[in-house]
Formats: sequence, structure tokens, C-alpha cells
Amino acid sequence: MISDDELAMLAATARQILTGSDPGALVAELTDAGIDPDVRTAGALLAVQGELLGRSTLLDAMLGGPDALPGSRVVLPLPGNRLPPARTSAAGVEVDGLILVPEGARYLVVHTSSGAVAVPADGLVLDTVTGLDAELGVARVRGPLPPGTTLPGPCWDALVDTATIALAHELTGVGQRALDIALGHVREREQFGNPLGVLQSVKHRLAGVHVDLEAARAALGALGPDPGEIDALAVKIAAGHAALGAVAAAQQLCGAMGFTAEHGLHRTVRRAYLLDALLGSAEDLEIELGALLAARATVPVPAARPGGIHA
Amino acid sequence: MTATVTVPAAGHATAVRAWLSEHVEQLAAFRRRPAGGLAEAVEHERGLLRLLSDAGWSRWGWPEAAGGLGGGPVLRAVLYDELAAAGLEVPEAFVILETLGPVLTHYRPDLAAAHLPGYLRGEQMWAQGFSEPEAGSDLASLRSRAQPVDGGYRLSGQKIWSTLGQFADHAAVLARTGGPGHRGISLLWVDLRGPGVTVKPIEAANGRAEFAEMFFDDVAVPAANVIGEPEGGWAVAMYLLQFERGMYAWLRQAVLQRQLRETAAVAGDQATPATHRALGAAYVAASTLRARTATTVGRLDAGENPGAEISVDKILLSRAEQAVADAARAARHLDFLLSGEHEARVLRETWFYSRATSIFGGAVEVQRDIVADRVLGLPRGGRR
Repeated sequence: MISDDELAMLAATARQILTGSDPGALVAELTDAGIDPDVRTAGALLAVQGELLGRSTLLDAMLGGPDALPGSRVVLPLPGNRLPPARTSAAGVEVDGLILVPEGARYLVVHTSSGAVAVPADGLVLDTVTGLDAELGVARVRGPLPPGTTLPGPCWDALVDTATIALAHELTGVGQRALDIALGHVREREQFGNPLGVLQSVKHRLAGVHVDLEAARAALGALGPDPGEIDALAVKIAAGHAALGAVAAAQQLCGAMGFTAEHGLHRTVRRAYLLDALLGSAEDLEIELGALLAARATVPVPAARPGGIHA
Repeated sequence: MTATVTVPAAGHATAVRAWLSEHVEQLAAFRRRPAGGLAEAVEHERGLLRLLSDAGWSRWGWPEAAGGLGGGPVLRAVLYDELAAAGLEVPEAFVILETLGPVLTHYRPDLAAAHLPGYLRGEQMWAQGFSEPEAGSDLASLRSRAQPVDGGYRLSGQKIWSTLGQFADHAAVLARTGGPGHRGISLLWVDLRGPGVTVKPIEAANGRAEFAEMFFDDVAVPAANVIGEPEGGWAVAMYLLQFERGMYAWLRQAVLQRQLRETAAVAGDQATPATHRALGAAYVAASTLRARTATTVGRLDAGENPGAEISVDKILLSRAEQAVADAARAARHLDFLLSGEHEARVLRETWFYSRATSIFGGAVEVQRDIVADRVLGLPRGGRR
């Protein structure tokens, strides 16, 4: 595990790289430095990525592991969905999902309910998505599953929790970006002879956003070494609510200026809604988590303990 | 200065857990609030306090000079967590202890030495005399007056919302000994059995009388009973708040984990999506609170004062209290609405209590002001 200081330096490097335009650069840098990012390291980098509204192949590297074929991209299910992106029917296996970084993709890792295969990227139809968040540059992947190499390694149930936690980290970054934009605006913008930020209704709304982000970050920071499904759902819900709350507050408090394309706030809004929906929105997951706890008829105590995490 | 005993929290947790499971039969009576009123409940929990003190577990985390076994606050945090994890009712006395205990050991080790061991054994109780009818979240406007006289003070005034005050032997009372504002306030250790003191329970909306009001009519308080400096009461109160908002929040999250388990166990297959959502939201609120307060307790244990950031913990606490109570209400809504059984009464009492958690100890609106002004650094002044 790398030290806090090393992590801070790495995050500073990532900040530079993620402002660039090459989504492969961050993972290339980590590979060069001999760093196989653990969950804590990757989480810190993804929070930076969220804050910068950047993009990278870090999630693919995390999910693929050190033995992944070069240029491989893990196909995620369509937004709102946590099931493997390939469905088996009488007609065969049909893929419909998303990859985050189509540039440089050579292999697509496709999970079914029974395992994973790596197929050549040109074996499926890739369409760049121009929807809510064109800047994120994701591509939709569709078609009958072509022949490929069966992969060993973790099943979808294990990967989906890792990916869910990763998205939660990124969402806290997006939310922080929106909060920072709103804070800057209410400090500067004067109406009725005062900065907007002196008004208690404004203060309370932004204090609430800060509290939500702190709560999500605390839960992410307290995850044990082997988080499970309940942990993953809980942090994604906390981070999703925090990010959506942050962009909603920023959209309101930045007023008409925030409504302009030039202001750029809309970029955080687009990113927050897309990331929230990937692998299940906070709203949906809240119901799913509650149903899961009710079905188990008990609630596990989360790993966080004062003086560190232990059994 | 006593040498600090270093006990790793993880090992301590294992030891507490082992003792609790070895004594499961002896502790069985403390898994449920007893039938009857609050007085019965208070009497009942004295038995658990006695057991924990005799076995030493509740003495860890308190200084040896005050009858403790040493070690930091984290050892107290471990005990509360393990009690709740074992399905036991965490004694309400620990809540009050977490507000006044650290103040006594820090500012008045002699008073702590005299009173803490008896408190831990369940033989005495203390009360907090802070709020007044005209001074709630705006504590600095308090009106209780302690007139300096030869050898001490004469205290007159009214205090309110003292948790279990009607059962207390002593109270820490904030009173004005000097001019207006927060600079003229002292914290006094007052014997509630002495002449001129009247304590009356207040029946709350949930039917219980968990709070009391205290009337002081020219009560003699010796000069030696000042906690901290004379006129330095505000600083003591601020010292207290970090434990009230940090350790107390940790203690409550342990209780909330237990309540959540009980709700999940009864939610069942019949639950509606709204109930599932309430349960999911409650789990998220409780687990984020746990994560946040674990860090805060670690900071308190290291001797750090988290300062204004502790208001985040306070806000998360009231949110979790209300979310967990709402999930319980949703999962057992027919009992909540229609049943007169003991369990249903406890459910309703808990729910009503949760509504107060965003008010007492500094209303959540005040906490948001603190976060906005002192954490986010938003400009002050102007129109409200």
C-alpha cells in the first residue's frame, strides 16, 4: 500500500494528466511507475477525475486486472442496470452495453451470467454516444457475441461491486466540482448590495451539499479490504445523492449565469446524471438495497471502527 | 500526569465481545427495555452499569486518577459499539457521561475522582444544566444568575431539557456570573439534593419524561465547585460539545445499527417498495454516520479538537436517527398506528425521540450556519 504522501503526489500527477486529452495516459503513467492501483489509490484518482470531468481507462484497468490483454475494455451494462451486458436466449448470446473509452480499444471484455470472454473490438458494433454527456465519449456496444477467448478471473458479481465503488468515488469528485463552482459564484455575485453567500437560505443549501459529500467520502474511506454488495450499493447511493444534490444546488444558485453554455456548469450536471445512472441510480439502488436487507432479515455492521478497520 | 495506557482498539473489541458472549445469560435481562415507566428503566440499567464497572469494561478509556483503567476515548467507543452489537440496550447513563465525563476529567480531575467511580457503578447520576426556556440553541443568552458572594455563589434561575434530570444527584449548570454575552458565564457543579433546588420531569410528546426542568432558588454553590475558570464557562461548554457531538454520535450510531437489524428482521416479504426505500436510505444514513464518527472518535482519541467540522457529524446524526426511525415506522406501520402493546409503544417513543434529535444539542439549522460560515467560509453579515 502506498503512503498518504505518495498518494497525494500521485493525485497531483493525475491532475495534470487528466486535464490532457489522452484517456490512456493515466493508466500508462501508472504502468510506467509500476503501480497496480489498489482500491484506495484508484479511488483517490477517480475522485480527481470526477472533479476535472476527465476521462481515462482506469476503470478498465481495475476491472481487467494486471493480466488484461492490452487495449481491452470492459463492457458495462446500459445505465440503470447491474446485470451482465450479454444475455443468453434461444437465438444465442446478445450483447448490449457501454464502454467508457472507445479510443484505442482492441478487445472487448464481455460478461455473461456464466463467465467472461474477450472478443476483438471489431467483432461488435460500436456507436459513439452523443446523448446527455457527449464529452464523456462513451460508446454503445451491440450485436451477437462473436467467438473469443474465455477469460479466467473474477465473475461479474465481484467486478460489479468494484465498478460501483469506483463510480461512487468519481461522483464525489463531480459533486465537489459543482459545489466549488457554486461557492465561487455566491462569494462573488452581488445582489441587493451583498454577496449572495451572506443569505442563510444559500448557506444552508450549500452546507447541506458539503455534508452529503463528506458523508459519501467518509463511507468510501471506511470501506474494508474486501467490500461486499451492500457496501458497494451504500457508497453509490450516498455518492449519487450527493452529486445530484450538488449539481441541483449549483444550477439554482448560479442563477441565469449558470444556465449559459459559456459558464460550463452544465458539464458537471451532464456528468453527474450519467455516472449516477451507470450501474443503477441512487434512487433505484435505495430500493434495491432495502429489498436486499429485508430478504436477508439482518443488517451487517459496516467495517468502519475508530482506531482503524478491523474484524 | 498519569501515563497513558495504550490498548489497541481491535484487541479491546475482541476482549469485550468475548466477555459479553461468556456472560450472555447474566446479560439477557438487559436486551430489552423493561415493562413499566421510565423510573423502572433507569433502575434497571443501573444493574448493567454495575456489571460493566465490576468487570472493568466501562472503566477503560477513563483516567486511572479518576478510578478508570486508562486508555483513550476509543476504548469507550469500542464498549458502546460492542454492547449494541450484542443486542443490549446501551444505558442512557453513558450518553450523559459522554457529555460531562470528559469535562470533569479534563478541568476538574478531583471532582472526577470523587464522582466518576460511583457514576460508572450506577450509584449516582448527573445532569446537564445548559438550556433555559429563553436560551435554547442561542445558549449565550442564558439568564440563570450565580451572584458572587463570600466563598462562592448564590444561584437562581431555571434550566430545562436536562436528560433524566429528575434522577440526578449533581448537575453541571451554566450560569451568568458576570456581564452579558458568552464571556460572563461560569460552569458550576451543583448538588441537586441541597436546599433551594426543585427538579420536575417534563412529559414529552412520546409519553415519556426523559427530560426535566430544574429550578434554583438562591442555591449556595461553593467557589470550589467552578468547573474551569470563573467566567470561563463558555470555553468549557465548547470543549464539552466536541464529545457531545462526536462520542455521543458514535454511541448513537451503535444503537441505530441495532435498531436497523431489528427493522430488517421484521420488514419481511410483504414490504412495499416505499418500505424498501426507507430501509435502504436508513442503512446509508447509518453507515455514513458510522464512517464519519469513527474518524472523529479517532481524532478525539488522538487529543485533536475537530472544531467546527464536528457540526457535520451532528447533522449526519440527526439525519440517521430520523431515517432509521422512519424505516422502523414503515416496516411496522400497523403496529405503529394501531397497537397498544409494549413493543409498539417503544417503537412510537423511539420515533418521536428521533424528531427531537435535530433540535437538541444545537438545532440542525445552527449546525448548517456553522458549516457554512466556518467550514465553507461563506461571507457573514447582511440580511438573513
